[in-house]
Amino acid sequence: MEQFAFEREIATATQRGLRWLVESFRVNGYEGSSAWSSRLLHPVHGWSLPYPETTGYIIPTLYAGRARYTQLAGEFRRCIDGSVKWLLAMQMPSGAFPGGHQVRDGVHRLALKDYLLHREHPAQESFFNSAQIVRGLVEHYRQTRDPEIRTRLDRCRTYMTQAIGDGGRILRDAYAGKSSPAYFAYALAPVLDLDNELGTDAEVRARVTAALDAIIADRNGDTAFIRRMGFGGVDTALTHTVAYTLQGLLEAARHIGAEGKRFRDAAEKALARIFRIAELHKKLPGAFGPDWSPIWSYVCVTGNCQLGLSFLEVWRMNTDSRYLNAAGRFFTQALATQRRDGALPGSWPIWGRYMALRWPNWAVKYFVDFGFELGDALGSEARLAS
Amino acid sequence: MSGYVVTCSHSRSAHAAAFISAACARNQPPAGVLVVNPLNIHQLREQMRRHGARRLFEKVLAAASARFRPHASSDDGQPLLRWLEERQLPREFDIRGLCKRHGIPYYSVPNLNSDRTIGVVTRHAFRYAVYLGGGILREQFISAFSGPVLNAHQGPLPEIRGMGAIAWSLYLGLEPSVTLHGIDAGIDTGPIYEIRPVPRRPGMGIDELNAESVNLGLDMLLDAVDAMEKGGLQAKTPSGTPGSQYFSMHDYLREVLEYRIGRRSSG
Repeated sequence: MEQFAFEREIATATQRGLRWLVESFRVNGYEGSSAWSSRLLHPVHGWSLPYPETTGYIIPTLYAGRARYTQLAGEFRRCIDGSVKWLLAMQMPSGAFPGGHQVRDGVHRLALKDYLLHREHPAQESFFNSAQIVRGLVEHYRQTRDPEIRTRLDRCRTYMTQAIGDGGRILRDAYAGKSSPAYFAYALAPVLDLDNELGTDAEVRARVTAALDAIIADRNGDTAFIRRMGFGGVDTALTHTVAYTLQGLLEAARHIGAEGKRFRDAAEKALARIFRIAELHKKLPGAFGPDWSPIWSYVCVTGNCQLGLSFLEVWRMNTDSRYLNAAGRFFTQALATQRRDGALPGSWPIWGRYMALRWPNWAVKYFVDFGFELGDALGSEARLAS
Repeated sequence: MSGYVVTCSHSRSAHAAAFISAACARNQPPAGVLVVNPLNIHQLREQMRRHGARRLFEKVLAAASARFRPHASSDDGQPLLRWLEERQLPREFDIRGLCKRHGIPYYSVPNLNSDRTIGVVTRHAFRYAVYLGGGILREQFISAFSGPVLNAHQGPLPEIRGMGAIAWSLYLGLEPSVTLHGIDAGIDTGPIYEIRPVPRRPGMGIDELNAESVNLGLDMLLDAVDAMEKGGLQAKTPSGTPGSQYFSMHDYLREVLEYRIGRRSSG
């Protein structure tokens, strides 16, 4: 029962988001969630092909939604069960999962230009996408303890460990090739989570830690700017991939424990810089150039929600209420861009550089996650004093 | 040296007008008033960045409508009217008219850090300034005075620097206070002269406390002028290292705070 106005506002928005997510599964017969909706790109169907990567990390969001909104539990169950089967069917012999949107068995589209040029590719291993699918499968395993899921996850762990080369470089990814960008921190964290769930393997821990160390080694000590956070390992990065990097470091630190403090510190210092920019301007830029030079021409809505989640993590760690306050601001800014059916745009304005003219499922996923955590945080702050 | 100058953000700033009226009533009028003309590109851009297009439009509308009401201001409120009544001061918020009536030189400037403003300050050799708005001050402006640029910060220093300090002090369980300090190049990091707690009554919410703190700030600035005219102000040794810089409190956290201080019943 919502008691406060902010709780009612957040609950309404997250329920709308969840209903839109369910629709993104329903249009595919509950076998995966469409990457985005866009009447401009898909005038007839309105939806893209299902996207294994984001379907994977939407699964924990659906489980969290099921615990809160029992009236939607049946729909969430169908989405989860259908998608887990669909994901397991595409696991490759190496244990990896493929990158891109699935056209049919073994055939994928990697990016928008493949849609525009009607190009298709055979399945290619993707380290990053495998890790996001692992997020969903680990949560499913926690909920069901299904031994088949455990076996599949173990195979994926083997692939991911082997994909981390000397010096912590990640070399087997359909998108990034050999660039090994810093935002892969967000792919390393679930490997640690998986390792903790299946039983710790020293080699896994050592390789992942080496990869994370390589990421934080390449940063400016004065500005806390981490290099290569952008797609393709470039320094200019969307807030989406900046957030992947920092969320990954924070999550990894949590999974490692006391030894992970250096990753937490690196992320916290970077977030302090972002916090200041965001509060001085009362909004976040769509992207950052080297040493946090902001690019203001658009807002990356997804990145704002992800950074909001990281701000909440910082608030939980150091109880600095300014971060909780800034997270509230990010949420209402994202909320202002939400469509009545629950969708959120990739960029605002909608023609902004990131996911232009599209309403991606991961924007809604992070918005819903953010809403859940923010509502809980504010509620606990209010009730703490009562 | 020719006394002090008052700064204000626009020509109908109610609090600046109230201060000038009160200072004149005490026979300590300012030697000049620097008023930022809000209708310049720099100010509009700054306001747009801070408040967004909608809020800016509302402010422009309020300022425009105030022009047709000689005794109204764009930011007047009941607590300030009470403050004026208690001191038997007129409800006059037109700073230009007020200056004319008291023979105080009035300077309309594009922004306080501009060369033109610095020129005015150095030409007239103002000794110190009372800050009652006008935007962020740069070193060039601050160092143009031989004395301090006095400010009443609505919050306890050095703990709560920045915006919304009354709300933040309540949120963090500190005594809501007003700090008289000198502005330096940092954000609320200058010398501290005096701290007074904001008088509280049962049932006061954040808005009432804010308004009360503004009135208290006016009293403290008037007393500071008095002290400056009698010899000067003595800086206190700060009780701790500068605290964090705070920013305006978002509505969500404000609701939490209202609930905490018992202003809002649940349900």
